[in-house]
Amino acid sequence: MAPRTARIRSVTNELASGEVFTWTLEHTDGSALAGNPGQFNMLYAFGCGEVPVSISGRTPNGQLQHSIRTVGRVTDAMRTLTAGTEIGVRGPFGTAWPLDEAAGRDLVVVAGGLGLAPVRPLLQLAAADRIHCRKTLVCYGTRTPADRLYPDDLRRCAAHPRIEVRTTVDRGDTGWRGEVGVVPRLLLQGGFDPDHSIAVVCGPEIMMQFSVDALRQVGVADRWIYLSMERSMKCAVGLCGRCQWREHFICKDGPVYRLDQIADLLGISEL
Amino acid sequence: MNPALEQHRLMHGLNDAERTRLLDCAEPHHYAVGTPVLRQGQAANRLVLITAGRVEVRLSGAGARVTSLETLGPGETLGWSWYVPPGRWQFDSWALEATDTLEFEAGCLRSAMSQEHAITEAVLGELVHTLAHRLTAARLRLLDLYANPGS
Repeated sequence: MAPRTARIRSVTNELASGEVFTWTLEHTDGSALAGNPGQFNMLYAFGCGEVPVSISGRTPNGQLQHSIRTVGRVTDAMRTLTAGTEIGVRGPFGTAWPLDEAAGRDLVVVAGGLGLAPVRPLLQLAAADRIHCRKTLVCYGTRTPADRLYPDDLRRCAAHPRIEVRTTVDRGDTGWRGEVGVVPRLLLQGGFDPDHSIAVVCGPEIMMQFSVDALRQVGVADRWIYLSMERSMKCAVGLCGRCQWREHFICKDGPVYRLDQIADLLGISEL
Repeated sequence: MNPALEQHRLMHGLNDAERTRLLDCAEPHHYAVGTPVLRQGQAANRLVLITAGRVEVRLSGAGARVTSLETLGPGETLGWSWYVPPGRWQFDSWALEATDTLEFEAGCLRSAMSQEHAITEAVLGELVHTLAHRLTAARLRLLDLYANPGS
């Protein structure tokens, strides 16, 4: 698949450090980029290279957003690009969060660090009453209070009568009066019906494993737990094998998996 | 008995007489927001079970800035130093919100444990559960999971 050109409409810094920024994109012909929550696009900075980036939201007028963390040469170059710059986009690729399955259930969103980006579209939809779940519980953990992403979205969710937001940090600061501890602890506090819940989990793999343990401990069945797996993706169409995870090619079979499809692979360090 | 307390691990495996014996050691307490629950360095004399509210565990030292280690909520216990030499609180604990606790006096607890094997099992079961969870949490946080892999 050849890249289509897209234009950066705006750039928003998500952290004071500038380490994470969000691009709002549209095609150069003015049309919106396609893609569902959970999927990713390959974003191409001309002359630098291409990286996979999850869809992290849509603006009210439908423009797609991607949040990018500077982790290497290509993303460092992307950080220097300004509004109006053209980039290449291939996608959308991969599986999406199963929004339809949330109907009538409690939606439990579990995220750690930058893992909030791929589930942020769910927060936006829930806050706009566009997911037909009974209630939404958001459990989010970061390193420090200053590392929390999308504070406006979290505030909007917290103000919604059917959304509860629980945040925790690994290290508090002097002004922090919230929770200090790991994300799985937030799940053990209950507040949702494990027999009628659907959980979506995104973050570092170890955090996801312990979150799965906590979800199982409170009684959520594997069939109702979804994870977004991450491996280094290159071609995005299951050819190059770089993201191979035993029999899975995460770029096309994932990144969103139902736990009972991958439970035996979780925690195997060699994979 | 409070239903939450009845279901608590501290009560697991105890018959009515043993539960009564254990609860004879306990007294309810209330802490206003911002008041200390346990003070680092003082003699450890009780086991605290949080029944409502939230408590922050802090480490402070001469000249060092106060570090928030963990927050604890309903159903969680703190204050195990009475069981471990030298019998002094290792950390400060402060009420982050209006907090209710049930506090078991250490001498009474020791006496009950020496007389009733089931109470020893229940108390040490809770201790091991608490230590295991906090050790796992501490190890996870040590990994600095959310650090930028590129930095």
